Amino acid sequence: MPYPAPLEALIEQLRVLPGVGRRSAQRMAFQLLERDRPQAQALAEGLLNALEKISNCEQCQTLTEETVCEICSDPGRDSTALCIVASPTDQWALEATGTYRGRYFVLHGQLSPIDGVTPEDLAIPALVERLQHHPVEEVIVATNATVEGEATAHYLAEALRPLGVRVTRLAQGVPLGGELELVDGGTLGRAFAGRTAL
Amino acid sequence: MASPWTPAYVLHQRPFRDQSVVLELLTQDGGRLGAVYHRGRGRKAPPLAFVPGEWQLAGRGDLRTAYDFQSGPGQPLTGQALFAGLYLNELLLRLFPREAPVEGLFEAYGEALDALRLAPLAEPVVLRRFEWACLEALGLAFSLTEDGGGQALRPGDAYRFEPGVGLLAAAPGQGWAGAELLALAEGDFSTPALRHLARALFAAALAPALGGRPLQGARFLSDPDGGLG
Repeated sequence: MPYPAPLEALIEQLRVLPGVGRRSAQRMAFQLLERDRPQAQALAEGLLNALEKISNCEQCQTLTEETVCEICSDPGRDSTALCIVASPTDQWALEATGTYRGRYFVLHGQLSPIDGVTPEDLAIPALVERLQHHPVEEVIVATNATVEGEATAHYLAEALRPLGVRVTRLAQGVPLGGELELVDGGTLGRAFAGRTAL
Repeated sequence: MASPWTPAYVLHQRPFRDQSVVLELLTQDGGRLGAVYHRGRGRKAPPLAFVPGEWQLAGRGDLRTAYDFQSGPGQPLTGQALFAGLYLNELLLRLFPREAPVEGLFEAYGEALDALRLAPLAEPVVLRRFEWACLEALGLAFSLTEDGGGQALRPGDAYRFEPGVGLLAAAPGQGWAGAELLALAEGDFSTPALRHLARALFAAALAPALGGRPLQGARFLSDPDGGLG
């Protein structure tokens, strides 16, 4: 017996969430409709509310409730440094360290020719335009230490070269608390190449 | 009993469920394989593309389970060589289906990666040699010393390419010079004209297998005209 159409639609919509297959989506849908209808109502309202109020910051593209996000509008932030991240979650991870006081720019993805993700799919043209109008002293590329992160970093370095801005990349190497014998060769190689004077 | 270690390169990985990735592997004996690797808490991240490794794989069918690996020597590609490597990977993913072993492809891929590490400026030649290795693996290679009718190429004549046939005499004033095709047959890529010829010729030969869709990675090569974009 097929599910009623609205239930089937809900199951399909829940499957857009990362890591949710059809079985998990069914369990979620039944949980909400059978056992927790008030929570289902709150969830629907929360989703609509967030959709309505959260958009991209017009300066750094992160998610914000305002036109310009809290960090971009903070006069106390260092406006000579711009840190490039792939996603708002990466930005929040860096913010949580409390070590960086500059500004950010969120690409919303990383270059991946194999997946068909091109510079135009990311916010790279907007980034170049921003730097043309608001130059900085240093661009810090904080993309992931993956093939896609490396490709994005290299592409950015080339795209920003005509602007004459200093472009740096986050250091890569042995994790804190890590033991050398357990670190893979690629990471150790990077750690060696990026060693610092004591 | 532990399964044997399978030499393989990771060509691509994409997230799968919350804590897993689907790996596209190029194995030494089994051709391309798909495998799920669970990277839960405390488990090491899978090696980056371009680093040789050995994998313990379980299961059969379209998607194996990868449950352990050891990285071999070799650094990930960086800078411009990385984009050339991604072009190779896209070629492999587009041209070869999973579960279809191809003799010699694993070795040709490893040699291409080594060449890119050692001499990134030789990128166009490395890419052309690998495209030719792909043509051979697909059974689409053709003679560069004889035409489709079995006649030896003449240096002074001009030739065109016909898929499934090979080189054929071209109309006067058109096609590629026999002398250049014969130089290419000797592995001579020394001039821009020869490299341009190789790119156009191999592009024409690979086009049917690529189904008319350009390779996305071509635009990121050091010579944007240097790939099958």
